[in-house]
Amino acid sequence: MQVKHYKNLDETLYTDTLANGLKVALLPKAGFHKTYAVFTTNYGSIDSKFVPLGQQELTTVPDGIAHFLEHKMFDKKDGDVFEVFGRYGASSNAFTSFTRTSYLFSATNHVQENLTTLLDFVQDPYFTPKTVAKEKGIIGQEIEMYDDDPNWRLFFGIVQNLYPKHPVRIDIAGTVESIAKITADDLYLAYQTFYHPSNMNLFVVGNIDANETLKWITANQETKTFAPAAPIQRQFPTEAVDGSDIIPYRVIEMPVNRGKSVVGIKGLDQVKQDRSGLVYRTTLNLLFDLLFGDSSANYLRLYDKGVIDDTFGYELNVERTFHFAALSGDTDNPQELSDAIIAILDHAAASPELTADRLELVKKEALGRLLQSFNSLEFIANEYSGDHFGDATLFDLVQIIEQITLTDVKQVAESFIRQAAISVFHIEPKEG
Amino acid sequence: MIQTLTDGVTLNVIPSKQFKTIRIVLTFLAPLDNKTITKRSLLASLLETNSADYPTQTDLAAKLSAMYGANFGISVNKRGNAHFFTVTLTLTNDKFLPVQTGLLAEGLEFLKSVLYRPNIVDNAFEATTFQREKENMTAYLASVYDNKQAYASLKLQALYFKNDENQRVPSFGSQSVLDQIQPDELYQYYQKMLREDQILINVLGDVDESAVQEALADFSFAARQVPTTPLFYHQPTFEQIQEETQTQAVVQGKLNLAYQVPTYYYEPNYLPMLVTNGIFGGSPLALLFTNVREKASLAYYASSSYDAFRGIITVQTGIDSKNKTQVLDIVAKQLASVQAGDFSDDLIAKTKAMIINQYISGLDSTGYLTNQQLIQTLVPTSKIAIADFQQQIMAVTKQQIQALAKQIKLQAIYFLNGEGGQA
Repeated sequence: MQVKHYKNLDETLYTDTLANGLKVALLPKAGFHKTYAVFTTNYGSIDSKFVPLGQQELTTVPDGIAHFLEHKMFDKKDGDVFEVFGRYGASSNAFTSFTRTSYLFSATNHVQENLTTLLDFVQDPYFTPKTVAKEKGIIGQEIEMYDDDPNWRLFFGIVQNLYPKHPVRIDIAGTVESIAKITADDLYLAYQTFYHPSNMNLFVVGNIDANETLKWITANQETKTFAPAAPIQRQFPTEAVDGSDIIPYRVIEMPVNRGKSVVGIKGLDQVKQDRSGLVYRTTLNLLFDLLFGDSSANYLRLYDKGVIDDTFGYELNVERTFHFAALSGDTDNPQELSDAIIAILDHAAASPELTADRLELVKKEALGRLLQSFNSLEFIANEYSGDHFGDATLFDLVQIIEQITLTDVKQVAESFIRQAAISVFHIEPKEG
Repeated sequence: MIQTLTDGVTLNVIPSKQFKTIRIVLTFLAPLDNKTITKRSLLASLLETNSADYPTQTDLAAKLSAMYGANFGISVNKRGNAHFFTVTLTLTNDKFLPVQTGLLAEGLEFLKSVLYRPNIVDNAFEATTFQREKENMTAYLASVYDNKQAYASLKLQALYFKNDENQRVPSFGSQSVLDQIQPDELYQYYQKMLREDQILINVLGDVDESAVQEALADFSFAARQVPTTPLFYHQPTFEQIQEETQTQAVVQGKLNLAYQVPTYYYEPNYLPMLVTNGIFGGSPLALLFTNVREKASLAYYASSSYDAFRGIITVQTGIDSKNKTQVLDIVAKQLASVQAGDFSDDLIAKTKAMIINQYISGLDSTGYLTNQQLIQTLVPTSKIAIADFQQQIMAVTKQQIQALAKQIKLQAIYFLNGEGGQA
C-alpha cells in the first residue's frame, strides 16, 4: 500500500492495486461521522462497440445498455440490494455517465458489512428476461422525464451538433426504441467485458482506518475468481479532424416561457490521459473564468445589457475520447446571446481579459474553491474515481493551479478555440 | 453557546476543526406576510449584486475571488409562519492557504459593508441595478413554469393553502406584487427590516469566538423585539378534498397530493411521525416507492415529504397521464396499509436505521449544522443529544405508527395532465 501525505491539503491518501487488478484508494477523514464508498467501472454510455471478453470480433450493443445494466445490478434473485443496505440504515445509489458507471453507499455504522454488500452485489450479476422486461417501463419513464427537461434537451442539442457520429451524442439512458432491444444476454456480454476488477476502482473516504479497510477489501476479493485481465478493445467512429462535419446551428421549440441558448466548442486538439490532460483541463477552466467569469468585464457588459443573467454558465467536459465546452443561459433572445459569446471567442487569445493580475485573481478563487470542496466526501470520491489522467488526481490540483502561467492560458486558448469547432443550439418558446 | 448581542440579536459560534471552511450565516427573520415576501426576495437579488463599496457586479465578484473564492449568497425561504432572509458567507480556513491573510476579519468586514452600505442614490436603490434585477426576477418567476416538478408542487401548495394568502405565495414572491415595487419604497422597507427583524447569527469552523464577537460589535445592532407570531402554521380541515387539473403539452404527467397532519416539529409524536412518513413514502424502501414504481412500474418517482412546521405531508409522482386513476388508487392503498399495520417489522427497522443514519450524516455537512443550530435557537425542544434521538426513534412502536397514520388526512389533489401533448 502506498501512503502519500498532501501537506497543503492536510490529507493522507492510501492507494493499492490488488492481485486481481482492482485499484483501491482510501482517505480517512478525522472528525467525520460518515463513510462514503464508490465502486466504479471505466465503462459508460459511449462504450457500445467493443470486442467482448474472450472473443475476437467487434460487436455493437443497443444504446443505453450501460445505464440499463446499472439499474439491473440492484435486482437480485433474493430481492433488492437497497434492502440489504437498508438493514443498517445505509443509503445506496448509482449513476452512469458517458465514460463511467459508479455504485455507492453512505453509512454511519457497519462499514465492513456495507463494503461487503457493495463489492458483492456489483460482482454478482443476475439478469433474467423477466427482470429485464420490467425495467423497460421504469427507464422509459426516466427517458420521458428528461425529454421534458429543457436544460437536458439543450445540452444534448449542442452535443449532437458537435458530434455527428460519436456515441456521446446519444442520451446516456438510450432511447425508448433502443432499450426495447436490450436482452439479458446483452447485459451479461457487457458485464463480463467491462466489470473485470482490472477495469474498476474503489474509493472509500470518511470515518475509516486505512489498514483495516484494506484488509477487509483484500479478503473479500480473494474469495472470488476472475478471468485473467485482458486489455479492452473499444471502437469509436471517426469524425472530421478539422471539424467540417459539425452542424453549425439548430433550433427547436418547447413549451417554455423563456428561450435558451448554448454555444458549444468541440476540442479538435489531442488531450492525453495523463498529468498533462489534467493540466489542460485546469488551464481551460481558468481561461473560461478569465473570459466569462463574473469578475470579467465581458460578464458585466453582457449582464448590464440584459444579454445574460444569473442563469449564464459554462461547463467543460474533458473525458476519454472527447472534450468540449458548452456556454449557455436563459434569454428572451437566444440569437443575441450566442452572437455575443462567439464575438468573445473569436478573439479569445488576444482578449484584454487575459492579464497576469486577473490570472492571479482567478487562481486564488480556483484554489479556495478546491479547498472548500474537500469538505465534501462525495465530491472527493466522485472526482477522484471519475478522472482518467493516469497517476494525476484531484490531490495534485493545488500544485497544478499554482504553476499555470498566462502563457499556458494563451496557448490553450489558441489550441482549443477554433472557429470551425464552434456550434450553436437554441430553444425557442412554443406558442400556446 | 448562544449569546445575546442585544435584544433580538443572537450569536452562536460552533467551534469545529472538521472542515476546511468557516461558514457565517446571518438570518433575518420576520413573520410571513404576503405583502413583504416579494420585497425580501428582490432585496436578496439586489444586495447580492452590488453595493456602495462594490458598485458593479464585477467589483463585488473580484472581492470574493480575492478572498480565495469566498462563497457569498442571500437566499429567502419560509418555515411555518416565518420568512427567513439568509445571508451566507463561506470562507476558506486560511491555515490551508499559502499566506495567512486574516480572512475571517476581512469576510466579516465585507458582510458589514454589503449589508449596511447598499447601493443607494437619493434614498432609493440605484435605478439601473434596481430595474435590471426586477427584470431578472420577472424572468425567474416565469421560468418556474418551465420546471414541471417545481411547478406542480407550487400549484399543490396554492390549492392546499387557498384560504391563507401568506402561505399561498411561494417563498420567492409573486409577479403582481413585484410589478408594484418602487426603488425608494424598497429602501424604506430594507431599513425597517434591518431595524426590526430578529437576527440570528451562526458561525461554524475553526475560529476564535472572541474575535467573531469583537468584529460583530462593529455592526452596532440595535435592540429589537422578537416576533410573537407562533412559528407553527395551523389551518382548519377541508370538509371536501380540493382538486385541480391542468393540461399542458408535456410528456410526463405530475400527480401531487397534500395531506394534513396534526403533529409538529419536536412536539409529542414528532419522531414517531417521522418514522410513519418514512414507511409511507419518505424513503426508497417506503411503500409508495416500492408499490408505485417498483411493482406496478407506473412512475419514475413517487415519494412523500413531511413539513413539520406547517403540519402537512405531500406526495409527488411523475407518471404516464393515462394511469392517473390507477396511481391515485395505489397511493390511497399505501396509506391504508400503514393504518392497517400491513407492513413488516423489517421495514420499520430499516426505516428507523435510515432516519438515524441521515441525522448523523447531517453532522458532516456545514449547511446542515448551521441550519440545525438556527432551528434549535427557535425551537429549543429540538436540541437533543444524538443518543437520545437514536433511542427515541428506536422506541417507536408499530401501534404508534398505525395510530398516527390514521391522523393523516387527504386534503388536496393537483394533476398536471400531459395527455395529448408531445414536446
